[in-house]
Amino acid sequence: MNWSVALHVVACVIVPVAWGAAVHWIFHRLLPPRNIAAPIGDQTDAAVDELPS
Amino acid sequence: MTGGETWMAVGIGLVVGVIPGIFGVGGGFLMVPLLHVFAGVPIPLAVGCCSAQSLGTVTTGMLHRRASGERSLRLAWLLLPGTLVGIELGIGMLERTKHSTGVLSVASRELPLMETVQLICYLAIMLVLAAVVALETYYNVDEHDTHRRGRLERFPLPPLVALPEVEGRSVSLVALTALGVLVGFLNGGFGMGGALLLVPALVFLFGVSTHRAVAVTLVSSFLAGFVSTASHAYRGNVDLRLVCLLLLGGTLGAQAGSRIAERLSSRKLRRWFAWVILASTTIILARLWQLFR
Repeated sequence: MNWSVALHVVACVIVPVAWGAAVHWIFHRLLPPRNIAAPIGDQTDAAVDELPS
Repeated sequence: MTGGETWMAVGIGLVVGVIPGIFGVGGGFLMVPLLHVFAGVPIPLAVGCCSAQSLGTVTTGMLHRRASGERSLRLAWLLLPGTLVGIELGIGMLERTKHSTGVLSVASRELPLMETVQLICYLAIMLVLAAVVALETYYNVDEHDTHRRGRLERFPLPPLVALPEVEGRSVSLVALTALGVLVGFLNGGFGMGGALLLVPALVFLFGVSTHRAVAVTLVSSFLAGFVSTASHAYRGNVDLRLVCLLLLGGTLGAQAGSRIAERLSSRKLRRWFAWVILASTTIILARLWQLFR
């Protein structure tokens, strides 16, 4: 494996992970949470998470 | 990449991004056919880019779950060996199709063999997804029943392992590995995160509660997506610019989707999902018809 291929592989993995983490930080930390990635039948989880225990 | 193709990629990301926003699943089953049919992206490249895009989506979902205190790592790690084998099998299959020039003769017409076979595979996957959604509706997966017994507990194929995710009951490692291979194959070969298959399989076959099954699926999809993306990238199946456009569209779409989901009941969500599957099936059939004409 030469350096350009290795760099491409690392970039292809890092970019989506960094993007996903940034989206989490912006939309779940900075802004009010929305239920991204809640599955079918589990749509109320984000709302439930917000309830006081 | 021309300006039109750029907007097309963002548009496809947007359309497909709405799906995880509403339904909580990656939408890979729709993205690959859309990229191939509307943007002319070769299927191996579409699968690799879709894998990378879904890695971003899954990272967001996993961090969100982690922030809400969910920890379900052991089952996800046990699924990993099978998943890795499945990913390599899937990518290996895809690599063979890359340079294939075979043709399929149907009614004195010649169709590109591999593209036809791949599109038919996607059609079959759509049918399975429709069946899974129908089963979920029939058995009402919404219930957070933590004491449901898995169907596979009747067939305790050794070696068995006791897991906290199923209240300390034992599950077959062989069955878990087989499930991992199937999910990995769909991930590596078809660009699907596998959540649509993994969640119901963990609930019905292994007796994991729906809430935990989702958490396990997110961790498992993250690990699988990480390996799958790296493996696709190594084989030249990932265009980073296309991935960024899909991520951008997907993020905007997910926000719109989550707003739509807030206003829909669970029953309506499933009905909408059935329409999404029908639309994807129609797109694939239209492409097959175009090839045939």
